[in-house]
Parts: sequence; structure tokens; C-alpha cells
Amino acid sequence: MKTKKIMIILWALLFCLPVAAEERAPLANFELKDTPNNAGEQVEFLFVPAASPEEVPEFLLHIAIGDEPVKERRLVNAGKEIFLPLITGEAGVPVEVRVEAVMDDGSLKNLGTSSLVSRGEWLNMNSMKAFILGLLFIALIIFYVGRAKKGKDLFIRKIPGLEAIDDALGRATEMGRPVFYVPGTSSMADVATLASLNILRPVARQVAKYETPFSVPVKDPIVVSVAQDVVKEAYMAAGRPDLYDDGIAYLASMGQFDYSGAVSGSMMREKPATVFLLGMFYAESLILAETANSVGAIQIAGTDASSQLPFFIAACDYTLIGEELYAASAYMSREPLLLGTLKAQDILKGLLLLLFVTAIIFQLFGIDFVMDTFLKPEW
Amino acid sequence: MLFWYTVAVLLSLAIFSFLWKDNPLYKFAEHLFVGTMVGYTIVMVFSQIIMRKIVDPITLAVHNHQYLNLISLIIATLIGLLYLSRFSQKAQWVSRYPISITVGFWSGYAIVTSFKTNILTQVRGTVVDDMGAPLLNGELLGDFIKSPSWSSLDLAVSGPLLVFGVIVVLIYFFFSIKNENPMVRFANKPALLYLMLGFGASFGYTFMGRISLFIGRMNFIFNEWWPLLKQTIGG
Repeated sequence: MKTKKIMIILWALLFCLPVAAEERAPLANFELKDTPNNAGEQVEFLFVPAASPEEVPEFLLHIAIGDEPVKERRLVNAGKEIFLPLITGEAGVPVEVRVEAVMDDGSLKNLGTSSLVSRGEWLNMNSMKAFILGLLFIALIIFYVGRAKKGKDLFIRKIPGLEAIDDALGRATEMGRPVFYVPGTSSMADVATLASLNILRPVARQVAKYETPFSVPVKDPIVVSVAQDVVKEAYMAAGRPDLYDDGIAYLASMGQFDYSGAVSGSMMREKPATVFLLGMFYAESLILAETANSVGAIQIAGTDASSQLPFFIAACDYTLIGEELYAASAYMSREPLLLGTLKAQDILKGLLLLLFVTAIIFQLFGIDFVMDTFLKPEW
Repeated sequence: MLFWYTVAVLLSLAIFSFLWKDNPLYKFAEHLFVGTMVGYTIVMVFSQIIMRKIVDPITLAVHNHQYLNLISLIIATLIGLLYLSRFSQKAQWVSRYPISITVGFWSGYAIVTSFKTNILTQVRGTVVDDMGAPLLNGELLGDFIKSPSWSSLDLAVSGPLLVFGVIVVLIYFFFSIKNENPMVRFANKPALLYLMLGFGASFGYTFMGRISLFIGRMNFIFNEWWPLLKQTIGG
């Protein structure tokens, strides 16, 4: 009798189990996760619908971020996983997402809540490989600068545009006309501007030696200060501080086309014999180059802006293409710091070329090792 | 409205007159443009930087008792103010501090960003395409040999051409190798050919953009200003 009772209970449980299991089956799985490798400014909401679109056509999210009012967002159930980034702005912001299923009859069913507090990391591991590459580069620079300082000969090949600088300055002196030096139209944040100011130094030294009138119209106020210092030091190095004037490097204007208008106007009036256009240029490159050409000036141009190089090549006498601009400063000044940097750049380029060729060869054989290890897209 | 449209047309023509030669009309337009932009920049700096980045955040920090934030804002402002020392002959050297901080920050900031965007992403883009397929793909060459057509030729050749171009141009920009080096001698001519082809294409593309700007200006004169003038004069 007792065994019979137990059997009945067991059978009853067995029949009830699928019903209970069906009731417990979630309509969706969701999770709020902290986004890795950030400063806490964003968290992620991962949503995986489990119910069919016929059963639950859409889901309703109630998103609460910090003190902001709760926002509602509807997700159409396409049966696909949804990734939703939520912007918190900073670390330590509480985020809560409550999910409701909108059933086929329009009724709402609460599926629960997920919450967390946004968290920031000290290190962005996605940038780690680039950081290591940076360290390698710095180590190479230190090594080669040390070698240059010890007097070891670091060879740099001839750069055609630079050979012409002396002739161009001599021409301006013979003609008694000024030399214009335009250090680009970008700020100090641009590497091309830094390279241009490095070239300005030897040019200004030569100009001071020849006692040629010199003009450096600048677009950015910070660049003006640096250019004034560079020119002043160059005039002193040339032994002609008496010729220096703060007005040599001046702020022409701060807008793109008003600057090019002002410089073009100056060129037309002062008729320079030599014009240097070295640095970062944008759409004004052809305006400046054409104006310099129309007053019969020798133009030596150089930029790393690939979109502006064609205009310089078409309109100028000599053009430093891309990296030649960086190399030019080292070539002209022969300073150990710049020579060492250039040598380190070449070594790094060689390593990257090697990496590139190795990756290609591996890819040809269908091996993804190099790509996965060194060249992953999250870089 | 006609008055301001006419001013715009006259100033446009004054600027275009530079194509003939430097003249008083161009000089007037140039100086007006420069002066207006300087005035505009001063107002923008005051409203967008001095007020929005200094005065408003400091006021807010005081109001909300966020003293750490307040201290950082004041320190940054003081460093910026050092820049004004350029007006004094004696204290001019102090202005080098904000300049060196700016240059140092941007140089450091640029290192990792440049490695990521200008180097590693570019290297990856020269090994595989956007979909992850290798650019040197023997199958595509086989497809072309099996059924030759322009499109299959384009698919088969564009990847290898890109890879070869990157290698020779990269060798061209090695500065510490002598020009007599066989590798450099081999790479020089094809590298220059690649560079000039690229620059030529870029020139044409940008030139068309400039032509469209000119057309836009002519469109303004003939399709906006001229009908408005006729309408106003004709009643």
C-alpha cells in the first residue's frame, strides 16, 4: 500500500515536471557588464532573447543611469543577440536595467533586473602592444642618440630638395629680396610643425649670415612664440643678434583662408625671392604655392599631408615628400638627437617591413599566427 | 537681404580680381577678411574657451564644493596665464613652460595613437582586406586564368600591386641606406612611379572638389543674387 502511494506521487511529479520547467524557462537572458579597458565611461548590456518572436514580439527596457531619469527602450525580438553600449560618462555611476517582455497579447511580463556600478581600469590592455612598440622605439632612439653623441658616423643619404636650400638663400641675397618661411598652418600638436621648426633653425642661421630680409608668417599663437625663439637663437648662433627683430615671426591670422589671403598679399607686395612652405598644410597649399610662383620665387615645399603633396609637386621647385620632411631637419642640423632619432626610425621601419613580409608569407600558407599575435584589429 | 547678398557678390569678385593682379580691391577684401576673422576669433576664444572652459567650470566647482576639481582648474589656468609673460622682456622665459607642457603632452599622446592608427592598422590593411581575406590570393589569380575578364583581372592584380607598392615605397623612405645599395636602386623607380600615380589621382580628385567650390560661388551669383536683383529692381 505504502509503495503504491509512493508510485502515485512519483508519477504525479513526473507529469508536473515539464509544466514547471516550462514556467521556469526564461524568455530572455540578459546581463549588464562592465566594459573592459576603459575609464568607466561605458558599460555593456548583453541581451539574448530565448522566446520566439511570435510569443514575445518585443522587449521593453527601463534603463536607469546614475541620477538621470529612467529611459525606456524597446527591442524588437528578431531572435538575435543584442549588444547595447550604455554611456555612463565616468566611473562609479550606478546603472540598472529592468527588462519586461511585451507578450503577443500586449501584456507586460517582468523578467528581472540587472545592475552594476561602472568601473574604470588603470591600464588599457588593448593599447599594450602599441605601448611595447613605443618603448622599443624609445630604446632604439636612446641607443642611436648615444652612438651619435660618441661621434659614430650615422649615414644619411642625400635629399635633393635640401641641396637646393643654400642656392635658394644665396639667390635671395643676390637679388636683395626677402625670404619667406611658412611653417605650415597647424599647431604644435602636429609632428610636421615640429619638423618644420627644426628646419627653420638652420635656414634662419643662414639668412642671418647673409643679412637677408626674413619673414615667418604664422597661423597659430603658440607656434609664433616657438618660431620667435628659434629665429632668435639662430640669429645669435650666426653672430648677428643685432639683426633680430620680434616682428620676423608674426601672427598673420588665425583662420585658414584669411591666413592664406594675408600671406598671399604679403608675397605680392614684398616679392620674396625664396619661399619655404614646410609643415602641415590643408586646402591653402595651392593658394600659397601659386602665389609664390607668380612672384617668381624659388619654392621649397614639404609636408606629410598626402592630399596636399600633389599641389606642391605641381607648383613648387623642390618638394620634400612625407617623411623626407622629418629627415630634413636631421640632415641639415646634424644634431645627434635628430640623427639618432632618424636612425631609430629606419630600424623600426625595417622591423615593420619584416613583420609585414612575414605576415604575408604566413597568410599565403593559411597560417594566422602573425596576424593574430601582432596585428589584431582591436589595435 | 539684397544689400548683404550684393556685399557678398562684390567681395567675391574682389577676391577673384587677384587672378588678374594684386589691386586695391583685393587688398580691401583681404584686410576686411583678416580683420573680421581676428575679431570673430577673439569673441570665440572668449565665449568658448575663457567662459566655457575656465569661468563656468570654476564657478560650478565652487558652487558644488568640488575642491579637488577646483584646484586642478586653477593650476591649469595659471599655467596658461604664464604664456602672457611674453609681453615682458625680463620674464619672457617663463612662457616656455606652458609651451613645453603643450608640446610634451601632444608628443606623448601622439605616440601610442600613431602606432595604432598610422602603423599597425595600415600594416594589417596591407596584409588582409576588410573582410580578412589575404591580399596575395593565388585563388583569384587562378580564377582569372580560368575565365579571363576585366573584373577577375582587377580582383587578381589589385592585391599584389598594393603589397608590392607598399614594399618599394617603404624602401624608398629608408634614409640611412646609400642610394647605390642594390635594394634601394631596385625600389627607387617603381616607388616614384607609385608615388606619382597616387599624387596624380589625388590631384585630380581635389581639383574637382575645388571646381565644385567655384561652381557653388557662381551658382550663388547667377542663381541667387542675380534673380533677387532683377526681382527687386523690376518690382
